[in-house]
Amino acid sequence: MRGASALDDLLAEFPDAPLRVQVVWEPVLKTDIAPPVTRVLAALDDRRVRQYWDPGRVISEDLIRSMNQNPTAYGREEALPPDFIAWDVVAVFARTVRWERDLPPPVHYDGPVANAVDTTRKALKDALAPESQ
Amino acid sequence: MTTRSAAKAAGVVGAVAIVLFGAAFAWVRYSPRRVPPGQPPLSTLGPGSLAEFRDAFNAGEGSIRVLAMLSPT
Repeated sequence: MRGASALDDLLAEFPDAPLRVQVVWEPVLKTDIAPPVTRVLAALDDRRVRQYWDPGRVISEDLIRSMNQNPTAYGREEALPPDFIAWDVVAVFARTVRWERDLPPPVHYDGPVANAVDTTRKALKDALAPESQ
Repeated sequence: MTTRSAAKAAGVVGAVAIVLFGAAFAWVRYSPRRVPPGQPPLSTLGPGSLAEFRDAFNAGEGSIRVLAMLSPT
């Protein structure tokens, strides 16, 4: 919940920026027995956000698969354990990348989300700068 | 208070607690989920949804894309 609020506050700093935001809610903790309730979904009220519930952690599994195909492309020296869960993390992708078979390497990723506001703000500013277009 | 009435009171308290717990569980599990105005409805992903998710990502080409992975609680 703190992560969602922090992300929403950050998005509000860029009200007119061309951003597309996908937020994936997934069960990680024992208390995650159901999709986020309306009150939790409301923490992200930016219109550029699209929210998903991923009970089988399909997206996390595919992200880890992609990263483990070529860890160095994602800034990692080693592969992650196959059962690793991509959780409480935010990633920023350049305007031009496409997601084909594997997730394109992000220009930035960090977590926990609530503590990644400063680095993500900088990544958004850099990605939105005219010279990066 | 007699032993019998104490047991009866404990039974009532227990029953109320069970009902409240059940109601809370049902509310969390089955209450309707609404996203804020202006957003598409909450999408539930399954094994066959990866392509749809990628398509939504790629539909944003030309924009900065942000992906966040969170848990509900």
